Amino acid sequence: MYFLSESIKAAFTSLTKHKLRAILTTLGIIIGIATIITIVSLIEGLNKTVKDQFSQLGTSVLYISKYPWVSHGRWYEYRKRKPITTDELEAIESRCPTAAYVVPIADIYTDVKYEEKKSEAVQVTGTNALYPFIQGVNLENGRFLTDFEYKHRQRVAILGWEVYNILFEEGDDPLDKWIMIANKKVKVIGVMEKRGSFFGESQDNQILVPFTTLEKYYGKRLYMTIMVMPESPDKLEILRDELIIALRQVRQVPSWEENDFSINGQEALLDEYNKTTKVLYAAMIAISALALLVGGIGIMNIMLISVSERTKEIGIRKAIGARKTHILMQFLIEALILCWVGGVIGAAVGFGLAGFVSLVTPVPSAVSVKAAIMGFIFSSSVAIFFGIFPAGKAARLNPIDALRYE
Amino acid sequence: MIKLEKVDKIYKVGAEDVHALRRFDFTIDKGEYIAIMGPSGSGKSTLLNILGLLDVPTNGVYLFNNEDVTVMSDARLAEFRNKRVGFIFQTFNLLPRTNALHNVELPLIYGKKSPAARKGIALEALEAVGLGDRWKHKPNELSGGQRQRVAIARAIVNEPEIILADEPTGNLDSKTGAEIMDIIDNIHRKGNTIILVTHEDYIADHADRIIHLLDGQIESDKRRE
Repeated sequence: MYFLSESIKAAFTSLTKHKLRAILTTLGIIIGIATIITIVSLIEGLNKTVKDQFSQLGTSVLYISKYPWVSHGRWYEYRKRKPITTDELEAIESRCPTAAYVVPIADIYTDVKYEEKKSEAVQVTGTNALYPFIQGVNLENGRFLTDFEYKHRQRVAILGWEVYNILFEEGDDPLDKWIMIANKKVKVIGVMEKRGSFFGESQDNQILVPFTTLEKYYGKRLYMTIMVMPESPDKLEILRDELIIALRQVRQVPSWEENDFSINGQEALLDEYNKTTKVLYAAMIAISALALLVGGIGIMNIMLISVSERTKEIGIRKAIGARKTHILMQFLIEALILCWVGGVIGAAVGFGLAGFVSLVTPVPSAVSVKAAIMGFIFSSSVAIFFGIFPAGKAARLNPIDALRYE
Repeated sequence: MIKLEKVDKIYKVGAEDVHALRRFDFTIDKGEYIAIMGPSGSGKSTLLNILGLLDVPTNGVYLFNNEDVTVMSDARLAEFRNKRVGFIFQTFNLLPRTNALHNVELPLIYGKKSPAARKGIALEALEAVGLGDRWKHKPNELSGGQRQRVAIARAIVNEPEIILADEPTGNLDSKTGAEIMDIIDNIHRKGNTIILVTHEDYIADHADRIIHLLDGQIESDKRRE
């Protein structure tokens, strides 16, 4: 195997003699690998964030709403559905034994004031006392809603971290202070810890109030979703069946009709997301395959030129005892090094591009080992696939013809 | 040591067959110093290439130490070229972008010598041709005579049984040529078999046996007493 280092040396001698030619040759490889690395980095980055966010939804929570989360262009049918109301909520509470937590949510967006201070377009969410069990909310201060406050439409509110910081000075005690939500006086009973954002939307610019209180003022305009969680995750499918029975009964759906409501879960979203990234991957494979094909032909072309330029050298090497495999390996290694150089430059460009995209857009990126390995495998395969013909041609040269070549 | 029996070498030039060697019989004993002469196209170079295993006969038998060369695999031929034969060319045929030492090391690399052993052996060969201090130089930094010495060092580095020289002084002035012939004479004196192709009588006079070729056959075969 001592000749391997000789092959590498010979390859470098040849490549450094024609630096510009080598770089131009690898352009196709650079573009191909850069495409792979950019797209894989972005998708990996996206995957990571999306999966984090989805897990916030809770793996074992079902969301009942009028519209499905993932639809396939049947909005005209969904529009005709009756809205989800507290009737459905009560039906689930009374008829679904597996439902451990049943929580309504509905949002409005409005301005909130305290004395001279104002926070604009705050998400005001109506819910009930069980909300923290599903959403995992912790309080920094005060207490959560009670059943009493829910039943009696009390004007009480729990402030999000951001809202609190806008309306109150640091160190101010907000408890029992009256704030104005859309011109209605509401008493602050608690402040939530910082929650971060969910799909780019801040969860701290939020106020929680009893759903019934919100309903009193907004009534039919509210779009209600009911979150239901079973006592344990493995009962999710039993819960789904119970929900369907209870909801069809209370909404009086005839047996020949489809459900006129949607039961959503994170897996439906995840499916949809995976479908989308699959399309992206397919596009990546098509673009990079094309670039690598063009690049590979470039490699083959330049290797053929290299072989013919160095016919005499091949003759000399054969005359002093180089075997076919020695010559074959020498030129294959040259093609490999050429492709690896292209691969490394392509990877640098790709990671740079992915970083740039995530800098100027909200799309995250991750420098992934997967992308790097894919780049390495692709550039090596191109080198071997397109380098084997020129290298074989060199190896098969007759020593005497090669030596005579001028 | 070497025996050719009824060897033909036929080249196709266009539609025509050219007989470079015809029913050629030839024997070489160990330690001989042979000069091959003859006009252009008489088959000198073809004979040398066949002897050096760079080319194979069209017909006939070539025995190298009683082994039939004509049935050898490509890899075995390469091994023979590497270990048994040393070639010296008129145009030196050094690798241009590598230094003298590396040029001399090449046969050792293909002969699977370890890197540690290689340098010493190659330097020794360079010293034997009087270039021990020039090992770092690339061919374009050396004179013609020095280049030919590097080529000789490369030819002898694997201690082959036979040295083949194709007009080794053809590209050199007479003084340098004489120095090169001294080195080749020395190699012969150490017991090596040498076969030399030349046009010049004064070069051929170094040999003990002079063969004249004409039209691919031996015209005369004289031994010096």
